[in-house]
Amino acid sequence: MKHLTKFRNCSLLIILSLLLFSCASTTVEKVDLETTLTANGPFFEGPNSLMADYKLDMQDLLQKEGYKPQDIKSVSINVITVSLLESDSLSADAFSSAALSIVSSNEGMTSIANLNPIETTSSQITLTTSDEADLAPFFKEGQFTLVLDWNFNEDDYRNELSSKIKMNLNVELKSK
Amino acid sequence: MKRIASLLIVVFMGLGAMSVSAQNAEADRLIGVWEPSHGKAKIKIDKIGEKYYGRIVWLRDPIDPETQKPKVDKNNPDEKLRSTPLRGYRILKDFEYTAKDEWTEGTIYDPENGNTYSCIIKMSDENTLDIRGYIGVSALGRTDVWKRLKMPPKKKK
Repeated sequence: MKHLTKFRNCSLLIILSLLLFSCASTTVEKVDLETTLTANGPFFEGPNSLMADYKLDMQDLLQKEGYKPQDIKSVSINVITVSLLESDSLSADAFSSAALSIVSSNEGMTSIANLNPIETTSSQITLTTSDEADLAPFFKEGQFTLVLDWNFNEDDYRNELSSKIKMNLNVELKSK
Repeated sequence: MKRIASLLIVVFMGLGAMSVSAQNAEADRLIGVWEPSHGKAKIKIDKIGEKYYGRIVWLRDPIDPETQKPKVDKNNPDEKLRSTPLRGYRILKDFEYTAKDEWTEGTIYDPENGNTYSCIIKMSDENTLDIRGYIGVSALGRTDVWKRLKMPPKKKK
């Protein structure tokens, strides 16, 4: 009987500490991440990949001091827009679709957004974003590569193509 | 003595660089266009950073009979991404050259059921790959043989 009470008390203590641990407070920051992806031509009909290596600067990203990549608990996507640069003299109807992925040294490539079909003649598109993708492992690593696949409608013999990407993200952080 | 030491350092550095470039060339033999045994698709393998990725570049039946439109990744577990075109889709991801004639640590995606499997690629000869997809341990899996797509010889003028 004594053992049973001891076991019950112990279990209660474990459950309470688990509850306390899971309730540890976090804070969510809405942040914008901008970068330019490039690729060298020529480009052939079908998907062609533009890439950008991104090095995370927490102070620059959060506009706050004192946070480290390890403080990130989760990163979800609100909106991703892709803009063609004016100098490239292209509009989005040069492409039938677009897909965006993220990859790092230790994390496998993950699809995070796409748009198919592209039905605009504007130079900017908004991608459909994944609800499931959590970018936290990539951010914690501090360095990752973004891969944008433009699906060309026809061959294009330019030397270089650049696209600017703007990601609005929810970054959940351990409270300080 | 100092001269000999510096000479040795230069020699070793040169040998190191040569060995790295030989290793890269060996690993890069995976790059190319490959055809799975079912003949329904052709896969182009490329390198991004230090890893290898394969995307569908050709489909025998590119049009979905149900929609009469180009096939999309309709079985993707992530509903929001089901409109991604199958042509251009990366089905091989994150392969690293880890042993002689062997690329591992990657995955293969089956668009017919939306499942992703662990995968090992073995090159049995320059034009043949054994692609083994598995769940958990490699013993529980299936191997498919892919053949390198060869460009037809150029016609003489």
